[in-house]
Amino acid sequence: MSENLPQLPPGPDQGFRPSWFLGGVAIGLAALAFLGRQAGRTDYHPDFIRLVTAVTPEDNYYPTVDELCSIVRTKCSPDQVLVIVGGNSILAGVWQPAAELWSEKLQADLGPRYAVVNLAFRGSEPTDGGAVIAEALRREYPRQIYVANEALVTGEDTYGSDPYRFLFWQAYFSGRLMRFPIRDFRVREYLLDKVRRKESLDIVIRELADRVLRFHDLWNRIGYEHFFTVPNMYGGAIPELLAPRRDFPDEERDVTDPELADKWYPPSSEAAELAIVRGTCQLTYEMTPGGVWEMTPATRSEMHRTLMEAFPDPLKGRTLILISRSSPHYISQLTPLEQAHYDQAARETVAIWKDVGYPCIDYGRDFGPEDFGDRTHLSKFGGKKLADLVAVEIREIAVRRGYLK
Amino acid sequence: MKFLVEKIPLRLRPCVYPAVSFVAGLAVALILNYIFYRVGLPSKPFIYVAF
Repeated sequence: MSENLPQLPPGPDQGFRPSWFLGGVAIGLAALAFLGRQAGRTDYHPDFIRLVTAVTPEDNYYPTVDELCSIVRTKCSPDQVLVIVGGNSILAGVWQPAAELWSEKLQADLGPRYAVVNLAFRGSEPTDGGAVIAEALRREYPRQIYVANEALVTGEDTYGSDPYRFLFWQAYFSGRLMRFPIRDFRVREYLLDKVRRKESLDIVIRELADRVLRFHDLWNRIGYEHFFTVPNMYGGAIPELLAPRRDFPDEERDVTDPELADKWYPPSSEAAELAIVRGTCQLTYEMTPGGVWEMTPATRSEMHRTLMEAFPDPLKGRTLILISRSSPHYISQLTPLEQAHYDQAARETVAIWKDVGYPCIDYGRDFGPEDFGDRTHLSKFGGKKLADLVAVEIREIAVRRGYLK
Repeated sequence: MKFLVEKIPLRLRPCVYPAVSFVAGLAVALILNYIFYRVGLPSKPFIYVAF
């Protein structure tokens, strides 16, 4: 049978060409890296207000440092004071619809001399996401203020928290962070820990490869604008799985909507939430023999150490920390002594942050139950009060640092 | 493959295998780029998903 097939004359034009193949691989990788680089330099998040779930690790979308920097460049011109909001779901505005988001109110309060960009992720620490972007943009936007929140009596990891540490690694390995010897030491300590040898190797290889090949920026843009290829909670199978991320709107509900009345301080979680509020001080404070309620020396020194290491010294003064109190719905159910202890913990937490060099305030003491959507998150009413408080602090920092000259 | 090559004008035939090899290289580059992206995504579930 094969004898009847037409035969090509033998010659150099037949067969697989390894050199052409390898050339194709090299040129292909270079072209894709170029496209990735271009993607990182483009703001493809039109009308950005905050990071919705569809563009966060909650839904397997990992925004890159360049992607977030591009968003900032669109929102802030060089003649404005840049205000980056980091922190957790409280500052991301859980329970506040986009139209009534607290950071939008903050922008309105501050006026056009400032540009507020909300880069808060749910469950993140002050040293995560927004902190990394602000530091990476420190030369481009030297007049910047970073705002983040934290709970009472809580220390920080200098390299952020696990779900969001990918942004820190990107910035760190691409040389976009400041030299900060103690942080560099902690990073080496983390990466060289024998327990996480394989994880550390993965991190280093991934970041160095991405720095050259730019695959993360490229596939993020494809996933945002065209089709998303990673399994996610929005769609377990094709075609839902492939839906581009831009198709998912900001669906944050307004907790004050009467339809959500059953979710506002639900009785089913009352006991658990109260236990959390009571536990705030139980492990970190002790009663001295003289009957004085005191923060344990170990807690105080550990907080002091981690806050010293959290941000490079030149950035501490432009980092506004908001200590988040729990809703008075729960605080009012504590005994008078417990309430006094809670107040003391809030005051002393603020004092430690300030002592280390950060502008710091706590909020929530004079808020009402209607200002919260649950134990920690603010309703649109609380968001407005927070925006007013923060605007005052930001103006003071801007004046103190000479940003408005 | 040879059957397809026969349909190509004689003067273009010397380019067929280099071109096919080059395009195969481009395709492999695309696949490699995507694999790098996927293996770079954290394997641990996000905290809220884990809860």
